[in-house]
Amino acid sequence: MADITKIDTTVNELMLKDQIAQLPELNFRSNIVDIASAVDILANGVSMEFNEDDLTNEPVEGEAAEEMVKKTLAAYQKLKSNDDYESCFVTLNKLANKLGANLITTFNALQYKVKPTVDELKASLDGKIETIIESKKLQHKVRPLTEPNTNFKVMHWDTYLNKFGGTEELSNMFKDMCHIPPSYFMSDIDYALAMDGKFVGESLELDADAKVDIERRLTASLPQNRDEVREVMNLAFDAYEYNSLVFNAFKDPLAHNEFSKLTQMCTTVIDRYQNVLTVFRKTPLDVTTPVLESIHARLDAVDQVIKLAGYTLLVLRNQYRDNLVMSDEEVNGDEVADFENDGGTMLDIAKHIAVTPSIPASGVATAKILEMKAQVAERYAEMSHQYITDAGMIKEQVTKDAARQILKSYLESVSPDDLPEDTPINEFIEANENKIDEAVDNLNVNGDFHVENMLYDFVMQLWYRDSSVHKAHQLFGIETVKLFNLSKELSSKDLQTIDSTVANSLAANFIASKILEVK
Amino acid sequence: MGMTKKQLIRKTLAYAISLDLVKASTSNIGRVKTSDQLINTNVVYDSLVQATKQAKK
Repeated sequence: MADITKIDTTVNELMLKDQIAQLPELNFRSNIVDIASAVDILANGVSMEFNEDDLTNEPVEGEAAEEMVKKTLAAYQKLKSNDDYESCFVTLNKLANKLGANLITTFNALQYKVKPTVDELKASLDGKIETIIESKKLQHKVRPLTEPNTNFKVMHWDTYLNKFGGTEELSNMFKDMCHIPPSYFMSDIDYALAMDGKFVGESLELDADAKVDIERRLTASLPQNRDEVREVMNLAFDAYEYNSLVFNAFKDPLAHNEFSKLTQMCTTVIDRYQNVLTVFRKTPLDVTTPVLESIHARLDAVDQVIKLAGYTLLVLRNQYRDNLVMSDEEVNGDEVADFENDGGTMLDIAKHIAVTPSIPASGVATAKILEMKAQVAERYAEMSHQYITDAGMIKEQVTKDAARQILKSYLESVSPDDLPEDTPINEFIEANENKIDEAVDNLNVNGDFHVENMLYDFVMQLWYRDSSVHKAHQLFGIETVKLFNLSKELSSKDLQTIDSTVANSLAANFIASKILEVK
Repeated sequence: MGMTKKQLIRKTLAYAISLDLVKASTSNIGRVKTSDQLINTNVVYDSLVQATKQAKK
C-alpha cells in the first residue's frame, strides 16, 4: 500500500529551488473536497513553521526564495511524522492507492490481455504469409538477396582424358572405331552414332542363377560399387537399358546442342562404368564358353560407349576452347588460371551469369567476361536494387492480404462474452471492419517491428480506444524508441526506466488533469 | 514581478504534495518497485513538470 509519509520529499529540493519560479501555478481542485481540505490543513501546518515576516505579500527571489523552498519542503516533511496530520496523509494515500490500482489494471491489461492477443495474431499472420507465398509460388521472389553462388564446378579435362591414355590415344581409338580420321568436331560423334551395327543394344538371355552368380563375383571385387555393377550388367544384358543410355548420354543432348549436359553425361559414364567394366572383363565367370563369348561381346559394346564418352570429352574440350563459362554451374578448367591472372574472380563469373538470360551452348568467352566486367557489375547492382524493391513490394502486399484475412477471422471469432452488451456478432463485425483497413493501410513493411505495431494499433482501436491502456501503450512505444535510439540494445535497467517513465507519466497526467488546476 | 513569500510557500507545497502523490501511486507497479530510486525520483519530477505544462496548454 502507498504511504506518502515514508517518502522523502526533500530530495526534490535542488530541482524545485532552481525551477519553481518557471513552473506553472498549481492548485488542488476545490470540488474534490477531501483532498482540497487535506492540502489546506497541511498548508496551515507548514506555515506554522514560518514566522510572521515570512508570510507577507512582499516579492521574494534569489537566494531568499531558494531558502524558502528548502524550508517549505523541510516543514512539509516534518508534518509526515506528526500525528496531528495523520488524517491528511490518509486521505492522500487513499487517492494514491486508487490511482495505483488503476495503473496496475492498465499494466496488467497490456501484459496479460493485449500482448498475448497480439502474439497470437502475429503467429497466425506469419503462418498466413507463408501459406500465401507458397500457394502463389513467390518464395524465390521474396527470399533475402544473398551474394551469388561462386562455388563453381571446375572441369579438369585431363583427369578424364588421361583415363584413356591421353589425347593421342583417344584420337586413335576414334579412328579404330569409325575408320575415319578425327576432326575434333561434334560431327564425329554424330558419325559414330550413325554407324551400322554400332551403339545398338542387344539383350542377352541368361538364367537367373547365372546373373546372381556374376553379380556376386563382381561385388566381391567391388564392394563399394554395388549400384554401378548392377547398372553395367543391365547395359550389357538389356537392349533397352543400353539404347536408353546412348540416347540420354549422346543423342538427346546433341540434338538440342546441350553441350553442358553432354559433358556431364560423358563424365558420369566414365566415372561410373569404366572401372567396373575393367574388373568385369578380368573376373572369371562360371558359364559355358559360348555364353562367355556372348557376354564379352556385350561388354565390348559397353566399352564402345565409354570410349565414345572419352572421345566426346576431347571434342568438347575443343568446343569450349577460349570459353570460360560452360554452364550456370560449371567453368572450363583450361581457362581458370589465365582468367584469374588477368584479374578475373569467381564473383565476376557469377555476376556475368546472373545478368545473362541464358548461357550459349558453346559457353561464354573468357575475354568477354574480362572485357565486360565493369558493365556487368553495374548491371548486377541495378538488378539487385530492383530485386530488393520488387521483393519489398511483394512482401508488403502479401503481408497486407494476410493481415486482412487474419484480422477478419479474429473479429468473427470474438467470444459472445466479450461483445458489447446487446450487440450481435454480425453488427460487431460490421461496426469494426473499417479498423482492419485503418490498421493495414498504414502498414509499411520493413520488418516485424512494424507488423507488431500494426497489430497493437488494431487491438487498441478495437478494445481500448482513448483509454489509459491505449495511452500507456503509446508511451511505452515512445520511451522504447527513445532508449533504443540511444543504445540499440535494451538492458534490464532500461526496461525499469521505461516502466517507471510510463507509470509516472500516466499518474502525473491524471493528477495534472483531474486533481489539479494548472494556471 | 516575482512571487510573494506566501505564494512561493503555497506553490512549493503544491508541487511537493503532487510529487508525493505520483510517486506513491506508482510505487507498487512492476519494475518501478525495483528501479533505481535516484532515477525514479528524476522521472517522477520530470513526469509531473511535463504533465503540468501539458495541462496548462
